[in-house]
Amino acid sequence: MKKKNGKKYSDINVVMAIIGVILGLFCLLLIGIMFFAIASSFNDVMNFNRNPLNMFSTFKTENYSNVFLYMQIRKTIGGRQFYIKAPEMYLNSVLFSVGAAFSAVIVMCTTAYMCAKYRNWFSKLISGIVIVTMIVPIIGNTPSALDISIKLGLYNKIYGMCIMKASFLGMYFLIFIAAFNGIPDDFGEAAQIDGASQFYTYVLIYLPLVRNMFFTMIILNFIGNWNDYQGPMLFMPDKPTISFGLFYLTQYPDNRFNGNTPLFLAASILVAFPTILLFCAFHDRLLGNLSMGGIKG
Amino acid sequence: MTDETHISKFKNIFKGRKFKRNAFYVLMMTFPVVHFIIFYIVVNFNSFFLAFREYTLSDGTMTWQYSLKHFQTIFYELTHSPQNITMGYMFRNSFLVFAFEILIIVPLSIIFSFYIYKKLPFAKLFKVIIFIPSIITVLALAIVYNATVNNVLPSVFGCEKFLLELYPDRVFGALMVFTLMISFGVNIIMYTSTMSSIDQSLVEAAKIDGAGLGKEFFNITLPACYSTISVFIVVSIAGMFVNQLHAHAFFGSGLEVKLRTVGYFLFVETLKAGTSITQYGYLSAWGLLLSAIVIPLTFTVRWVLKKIGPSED
Repeated sequence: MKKKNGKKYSDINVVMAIIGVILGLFCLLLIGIMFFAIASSFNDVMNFNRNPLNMFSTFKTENYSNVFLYMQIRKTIGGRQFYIKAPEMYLNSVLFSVGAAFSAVIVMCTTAYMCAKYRNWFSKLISGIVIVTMIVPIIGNTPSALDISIKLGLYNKIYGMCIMKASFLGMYFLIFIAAFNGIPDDFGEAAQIDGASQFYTYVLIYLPLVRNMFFTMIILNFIGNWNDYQGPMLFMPDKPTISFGLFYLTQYPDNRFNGNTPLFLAASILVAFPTILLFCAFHDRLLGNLSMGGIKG
Repeated sequence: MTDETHISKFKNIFKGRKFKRNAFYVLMMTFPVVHFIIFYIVVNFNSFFLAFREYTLSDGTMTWQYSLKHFQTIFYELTHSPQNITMGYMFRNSFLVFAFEILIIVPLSIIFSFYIYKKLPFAKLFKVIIFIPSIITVLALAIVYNATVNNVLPSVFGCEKFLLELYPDRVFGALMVFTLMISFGVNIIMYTSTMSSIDQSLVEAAKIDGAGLGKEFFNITLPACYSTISVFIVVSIAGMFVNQLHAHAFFGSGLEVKLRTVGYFLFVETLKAGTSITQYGYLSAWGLLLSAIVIPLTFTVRWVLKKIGPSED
């Protein structure tokens, strides 16, 4: 076997070959399932029920328009019943995912910068707190968080959720602080001799140096928030996101959706589309920088 | 000294570089610190106190008093039939999921990561494909998985439909296979990143001494990954009572009692409680008891793993 540059895979043995075959089959299975989902999402329900593998005899783009038109959540607020439709859920998802991603990453990055460049006992304390909170697992505090969010008037509000997510705690803080520690202080000192203020030193000198990391964290946070349906379900039930909408659809399908697998698959693809698009555009950046932490929603 | 000199001295304090630096520090740190106080310290203390509060509604007014009622309820459920059978299932399932993660997912992830780290054929392609499920919402994956096991498998292999909602005995296994399929992505990134930091001169030296891939894996790669594996084990223990095995994405709140994990139970009960503060105490008491089990366990396992691990040299 040869690599592109002509170097041989000289050390490959039988065991590794078997592992390679297993990996290959697993990847084929994943690709196959995804292909089946995409192809079947355009299929007619009658045709699908007759033979699910006959994926190409019909091409119904209406499945997607139907999902967009009829995917809805019924809500009763103040005795009044109304429906929240897919476009509104998309808008909620965008506002929540973008808002929470920016609020969390800005707070994390800024706190890490302050701890890295303003070395004092308090900065050390903050860094210590991050590590301690990561080590100590506290279970079952969600009801309390709900209670606090209700008392602070953040419950059922998208901006409330964004504020709640704006925490410096977590693995990404450590990645940011390592990055800022790796940048010499001379950069900032030189800028300040030239008259730059503390704020400008941060925003115009240091932030551009970690912009790639900042951008990657925004994407990762965005994907995590977009995929999260349990958080919005608990903390903003009247502002459903599109993932929450998909959950609602699976649990309370109306007549159009009941037993209609192609419609469900179309709905899944519509919900997953933005994150797949982001992954296609930035997979090198995401796979290269995701050395720590997970993003499953 | 005149008043003017006093004023100019006072102004100079505010103009000083040190003052500006400190003021900027205080300004920038205020929000993160206040946020931490409210959403970590206050939330956790509130959770502690909620566990001891018993709310009663009388004449339209909510009143509370401190009591051990929630703990008594939990101990009753743990010791009396039929609730204790349900609780037994919950704990058994949570331990099973933990064991599954440690005994199946971790070893497979390490082996796959080694293949990708050695840049063997199609390694980069495999890495990208395996990662895709990690960026898709688990709900969409659950729908696609259900559609596959109910439609494609019967068509291809001629077997009957899995119909998880009708056959509870198949659910746990099906959920484990689902978890296995979607959890490799992040794990492989973690392990390959650790493997990439191995000093290549060590690998070259082993090769010169005649070591093959097997020896390299067991004598160099695996010891180098020990800290990452330890972190994974510790995180799995910490998350043992939070893990839902993605059951909620498949079954909502209607999963058969026998198949529930502790994490699923806590989430569903929190969802049921909604904004009703009277239910929070019971759930907070559960949280407090589980934290009391998990925190010492996590620290003990961490200590043991550090003790038995390979030396840094």
